[in-house]
Parts: sequence; structure tokens; C-alpha cells
Amino acid sequence: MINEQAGLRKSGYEMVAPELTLSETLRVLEVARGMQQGRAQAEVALARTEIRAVMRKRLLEAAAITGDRMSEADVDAAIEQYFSTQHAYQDPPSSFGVFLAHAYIRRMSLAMMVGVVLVIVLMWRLMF
Amino acid sequence: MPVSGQDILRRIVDFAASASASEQKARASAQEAASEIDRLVTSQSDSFRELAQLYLPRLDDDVVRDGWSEMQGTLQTIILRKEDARRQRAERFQQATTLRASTDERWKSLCSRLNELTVKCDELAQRLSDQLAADTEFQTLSREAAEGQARLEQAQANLQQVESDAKAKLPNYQQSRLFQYLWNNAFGTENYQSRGLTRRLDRWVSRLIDYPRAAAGYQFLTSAPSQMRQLIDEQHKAVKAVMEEVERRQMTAANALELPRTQAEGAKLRGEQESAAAAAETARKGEELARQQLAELESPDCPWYQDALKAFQNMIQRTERSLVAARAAQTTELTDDQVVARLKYIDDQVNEKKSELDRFFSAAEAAAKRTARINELASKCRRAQFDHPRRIFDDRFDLESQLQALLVGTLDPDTAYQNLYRVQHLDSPVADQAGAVLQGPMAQILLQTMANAAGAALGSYAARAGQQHRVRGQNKDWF
Repeated sequence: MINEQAGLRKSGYEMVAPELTLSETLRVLEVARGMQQGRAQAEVALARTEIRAVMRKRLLEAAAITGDRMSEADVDAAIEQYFSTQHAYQDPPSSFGVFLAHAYIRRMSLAMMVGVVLVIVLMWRLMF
Repeated sequence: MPVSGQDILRRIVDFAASASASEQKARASAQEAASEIDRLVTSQSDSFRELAQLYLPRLDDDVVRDGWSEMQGTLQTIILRKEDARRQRAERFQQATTLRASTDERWKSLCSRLNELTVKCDELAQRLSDQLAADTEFQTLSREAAEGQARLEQAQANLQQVESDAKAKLPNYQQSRLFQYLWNNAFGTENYQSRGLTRRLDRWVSRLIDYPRAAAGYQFLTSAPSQMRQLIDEQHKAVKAVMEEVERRQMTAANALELPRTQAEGAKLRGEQESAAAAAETARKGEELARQQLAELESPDCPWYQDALKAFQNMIQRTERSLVAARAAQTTELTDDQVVARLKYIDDQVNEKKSELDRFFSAAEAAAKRTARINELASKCRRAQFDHPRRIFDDRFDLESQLQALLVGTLDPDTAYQNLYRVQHLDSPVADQAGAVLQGPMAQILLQTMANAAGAALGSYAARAGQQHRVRGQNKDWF
């Protein structure tokens, strides 16, 4: 009796739940996947201490295999260096390509400036 | 050569000042004698008290019986009052002692009971500890809670590290125009809408700055801290749930052993013990106070003894010195004879100083009278404006002898003033003419006759009336 009632309740909710299209379903799944990825990244960040310990162990084992004479302090310094550069960003060094890229992203404002200069020159010529 | 009125008045005032100085000196000597008498009287009072202490070294029946018969009645009354006070104080002391003993007993009983409960609690705690150590489920939960707490603390530290990383690294992203251009246009996401040449050029910029890797890093730095906080909250709740379960199992086991009930009983007993300790301390202080009040009855500062001493002292002071000396001679000790001799010496000194005081006082009074006479003369001279710039006096007039006579009392101020007035006049042409008229023999006789008729008090007025009558119509007054 209880199961039947639960079954009846279940079929009632299914009737009022919205029907999603395929694209909407994929979009929701994408969002859930993104949230799961974000959560996974956060869990990895929370476990940073354990990760450091694992990295340390692996690096020391690798150094032993390759015959590198490396102390624990060197390994710790290398791991520290790794984490300090993780997620860091720097613009590429100045070059002609970078200059063009800056000009490209400012194309609208540059075009407006050129237009204004042209209009002023035109008006000057017309007046004098 | 005539003498100016100002000079005359100045000499009179100086003479008055010197007379006043001698009066002040006499008064100072009288004050000194009075102070010395006060000191001697104080010394006398101390000597009487010393004598009373010699005759009444303590207040009891033996001393009173062997002492002065005149004082027996008074001293017996004081002894009765003292004994009554002793009885009352002894009762109070007894009551305080009983109270102190009972409060001490109660406090000790409570301490003993509390110690028993403490031992029982220790035993129960040990049994609980053993029981929980054998409970595998409890051990598992405890370990889980400890591990969860350790992970939680580590996670907190890591969160702080990520937050400081984000704070240090995000500005590079935010200040990069190339990165912000692609990020704001949602490049690489389904929201990106550019097409054709723009899309190709955006892709070129993306390759230039390795945009995918940068976007992932930016995404992490902006979203990871909040997600980490959420995870930490969840972990915190989980650890809290485990801890609650651990505490529940522990409380169940403790209740089965009745440990909380024993602890509550011990806490209540502790409160009672502290109250009992305070009551015992109060009772102890009360007993000590009652003991001190009882002991005071035997000390020299006892109020009844002081009363007796005062009464004895007054009696000796009223008694004839010869009788006191005779009594002192009857005793075998020499000390009382010495005190009596000292009293006699003080009496003689006081009488001598009193005579001196009377002498100085009389001298001061006489000097005051002399000074008053000179001052009266000076006042009259001032009122008559003897210090007028044109007032002059005959230089043959002997002012010094007049002032001396006034000082010793052979001359009164009015007569002295008249004598002065006669030898003065105003120095002016009109006055000379008037003087010439007035200095005629008839004028002199007239003035003299009028002055004698008017008497000492009005003589000066009579003289002036004569002058004004004679000069009116002929010369103007100066004023």
C-alpha cells in the first residue's frame, strides 16, 4: 500500500516536471560538469599538503633512479617554485606582433580617432 | 625762627608712636608670661596624673583597700562596673568560641564529604575511560573525528595559501589588455559570437598569449577560494556530526555509571563548603574580637582604669598640698615624694609668673592711657589744621616738655592744645595786619579774658570768636 502510494506520488511529480529539449539537457549537463570540475579543482587545492608530499616522494625516487644527488631541501625548493608559478600570467615580451595585437584590440578607438582627425582636416580644407 | 605747623604735628605724631611702642612691648611681655603659665599648668596636670598612677597602679580590691580612704567609695563603684563588663564580655567570648567550634566542625565535615566524592569521581572516570577504550565503535569514531579535525585545519591553511596566491597573481590578469579583451568577449566559450576575420584575428591573439592556459588559471584563482570555503564548511559539519556522536556515546556510558550525578552532587557540596569556610572565618574573627575585649580589661588602657585614674587625679588636685606631701611621706617609696616636690616647685613658679603677668598687664594699661592722651592731642591738632602750609608756631615754645607733661599725666590734652594754639598763627600780609591789630594790649587782654571765661574745653573757640569779631569788615578771611 505504501509503495503504491509512493508510486502514485512519483508519477504525479513526473507529470508536472518541465520537459527539456536536447540542447537544454546538454546545457544543464555542461553546467553540472563545470561545477563538478570546479569542485574537483577545489578539492585538489585543499589537499595541497598531501599533493606536496606525494610530489616530494616521487621526485626523490626519480632523482635516486637517475642518480642525481639532490637533497630534500632542493626538492622542497623546486616544489615551492612550481606552485609559485602555477596559475601565474605574464603578457608576452614586447615585439612587433604584440604591438599589432594591441593595435588590433584597440581598433575601434583608433578608428574613431582617425575619423575625428580626418573630419577636422576636411573641415580645415573646406574653410580655408 | 618760627617753626612750621607741619613740623610741630610731625613731632607730636612721632612722640605718639614711641609711646605706642612701649605699650606694645609691655603687652608682648604679658603674653609671654601667660604662655609660660599655660605650660606650667600642663606640667602640673601631668604630675598629678603621675601621682595618681603611683597610688593606683591597677584597679582591684587590694589596691583600693590599701589606698586612700577618700577614694574607696568611688573606686568600688568603678570596680563593680568593670566586673559587670567582665561578666558580659566573658559570656560573649564563650558564645563566640562555641560558634567558631560549630562552624569549624561543619566545614571539616563538608571537606571530608567532598574528598570522598572527588575520589569516587576519579574512580568513575577511570572506569568510563576503560569502558570507552574497549568500545571499538567509539574508538573508530574518535579516530575519525581526530583525522577530520586534522584535515580541516590543514584545509584552512591551504585556503589561506590559495587566497594569498590569488591576491598576488590576479592583478597581472586584470592589468593585461590582451587577456581582458579575450575574456570579456568570452573567447573559447559557447557565448563567443564573433565570426569571420574577427574570429581569426582573435584566435591569433589567443595563441600569442597562450589564452587557454591563462583562462584556466584565471578561472581557478577567481573561483577556487569560494569553492574551497564551501568544501571546508561541509567538512566542518561532518566532523561536528562525528564529534556529536562521540559525545553522545560517552554521555550514555557516563550516565550508566552515574558520573554526571556524582559531579553535580560534588559541585553543590563545593558551594556549601565555600559558604561554611566564610562562616568559619567570620566566627573566628568574632571570637578573636571577644578575646581582645576580655583582655582589654587587664590592660592599662582599660576605660574603667582610666576613669579611676581621672577621679583620683581630680581628688589629689583638690587636696591641700601639705596633706598630699604628708601622705607621700608616709609611704616607703621615694617617687611620690619627688613628684610632690616637683608640684611644689611648679606652684611657686606659677605664682611668680602670675605676679609678673599682673605687672606687665598694669604697665600695658598705663602705657595705653599715655598713648591715648598723645593721640588725642594729635587728633585735635589735625582737626585744627595745624599742618596748613602757612601755619607757623613761635620757636620759643617748648613742645618737648609739654609732651612729657602730657605723657606723665600732669597735663591734659585740652590744655596742651590751648597752649599750642596760643603760639600759632597763619603767615600772611592780611594776617599780619590782623595780627598787628590783635597784638595790641587790649586785644590780648580780651582774648585772655574770654578764654578764661569759656574754660578749658571752649577756650580755643572763644579765642577764634574774638579774632573774627575784631577782623570782620577790615580783612577778608582766608577761607
